[in-house]
Amino acid sequence: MKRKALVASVALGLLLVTGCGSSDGDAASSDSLVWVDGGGAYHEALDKGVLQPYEAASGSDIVPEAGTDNAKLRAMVEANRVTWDVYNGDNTWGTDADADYLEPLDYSVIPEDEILDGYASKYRVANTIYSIQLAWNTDKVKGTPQGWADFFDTDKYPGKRAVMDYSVGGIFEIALLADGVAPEDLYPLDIDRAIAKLNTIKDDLVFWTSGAESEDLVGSGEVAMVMTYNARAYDVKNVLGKPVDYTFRDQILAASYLSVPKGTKNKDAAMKLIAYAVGSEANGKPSQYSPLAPSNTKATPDADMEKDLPTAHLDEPHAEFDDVWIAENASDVEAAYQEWRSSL
Amino acid sequence: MSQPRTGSLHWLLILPLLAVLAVLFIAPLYFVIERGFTDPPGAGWDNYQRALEDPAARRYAWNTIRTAFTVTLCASVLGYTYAYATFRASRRMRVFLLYCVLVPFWTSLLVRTYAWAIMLRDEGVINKTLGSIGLIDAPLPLLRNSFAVTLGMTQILLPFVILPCYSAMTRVDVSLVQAARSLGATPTSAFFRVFLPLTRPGLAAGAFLTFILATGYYITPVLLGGPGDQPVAVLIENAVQQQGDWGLAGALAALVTVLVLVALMAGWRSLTRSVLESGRRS
Repeated sequence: MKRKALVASVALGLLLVTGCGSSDGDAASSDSLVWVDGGGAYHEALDKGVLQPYEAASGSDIVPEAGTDNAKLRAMVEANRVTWDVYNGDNTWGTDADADYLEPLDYSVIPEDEILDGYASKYRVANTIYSIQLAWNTDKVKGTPQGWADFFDTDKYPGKRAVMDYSVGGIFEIALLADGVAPEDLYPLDIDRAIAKLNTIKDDLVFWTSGAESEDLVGSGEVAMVMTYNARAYDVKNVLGKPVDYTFRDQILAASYLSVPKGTKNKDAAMKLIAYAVGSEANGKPSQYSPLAPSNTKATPDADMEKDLPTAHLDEPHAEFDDVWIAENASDVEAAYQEWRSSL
Repeated sequence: MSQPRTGSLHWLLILPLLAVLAVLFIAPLYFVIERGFTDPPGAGWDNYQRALEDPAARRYAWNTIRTAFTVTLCASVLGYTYAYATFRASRRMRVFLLYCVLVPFWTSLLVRTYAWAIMLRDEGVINKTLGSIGLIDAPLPLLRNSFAVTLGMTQILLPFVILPCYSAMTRVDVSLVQAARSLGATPTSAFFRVFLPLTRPGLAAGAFLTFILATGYYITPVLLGGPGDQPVAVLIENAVQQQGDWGLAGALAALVTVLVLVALMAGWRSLTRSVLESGRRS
């Protein structure tokens, strides 16, 4: 009796353990699409502006998943168990360097000619434009900083500076812009020069690892200035109502991109959803909820939000990330970054 | 004192746990370490060479070890002292003191770490209070340095020292201490020459547990530390998430695992002795 119970419990345990892995693949049935983005306010804006209207119009079912994760996507494709259909990654993802993991986009349904120049390529198409910008705490900073040169000028504007703890997130770029490099000459990055510039304010540097942390740092006044995403600067000033202001001068433009993991069973449906998301009708709608600029030149952004959109300030000095160069050199940039950061 | 035997198949009871560990821990660990040798194909020891020659990896590894040692030392001294105070306290006080150890244990590590960050920062409770009563002119640098990391990790890891120490103390035959006193030992000398050696296995077990856990800490040093306190786990995370470089990540993970195994082997005797003793007596 005792022996039987033991054997049974062992067998049950093994069954539970080994049974877990087999059902993942069925999570998305053929008429539902799994959409992956970073979650939070970004997802809400996309959900209300794009995903819900698409569901209503097409009758298909979209299953959102929060948490873009390039490593997970690669692992899915390598294991041939792809459960994601549309992947809304950041600007470092989806260049030709990632060709092994992505389906070529179907530009017979996606309106390539309506997309801003340079924001549609073989494996990805931008759906929202954002930027890295300079924001400051108005209690701590007297005056109006005019860009990255002022960010590095701690004599003129004393106080700590918060930077993104991410080697290819713009930290080297803002140092070079502050040091007088012209936006069009940023790449290939002169990393030694960038580090020398960063070292001039190294005692005042604070590193942030999440967008929410960057809002907290500048909102509480713990740092005088911050480099952060334009949506975060907008949020801490206008939604949270903290004493914060920001400038689009010297902003570095970036985009969120839609791509399709290689081997998805819903390739055609995924292409249709992407075509809708970057189409002129839906592409401007997320800007009703969040300062996300449309990538479609024919889309209409929200009138109240327009002044807070990166694309409304292209007459001022600005730079753009060279994602192709970054993708090709990411491991060298990362190694140099970690060597510098670990020596601080 | 022979233990009741449960029959020749009692070892089967351990199989479900082993099965879970094999699938959820040992297999993933094996695959990660394997990729350290096979990614990119034919890598062999190349990734290990890269990991060992990378100046950032060396500094981060040193940060990890240094932090683990400091935290182990602080947690051992504070934990043993606290356990001793609990041991000497009245029965009701004892229950209260043990609850004080356990309650924070039920709170998420992330919440506790953020709580420290909020207390320690320039605009935080401590600096604001000290500033408003005029003790300081400029905020003290409490956050984003080794002090904050040591403080945060010590607080989180303290129970791992306190509980085995307390358990060891309750097993000490107090008449031995009294005998030492009656033979002329001062209270200090009786403590250090009789009580402390008798409770040493508990302290050693707590210290080794703390050291091993501390080598794997990630969130606390990242949120509370400055650039000079970042653990090697940061590099592993970046290698996987940003670079897709599983080879380097595998090599780094294997090196940390080896470090922990070495520490575990060094502390193995005191750990097993303490665990076996507590099993026998209770």
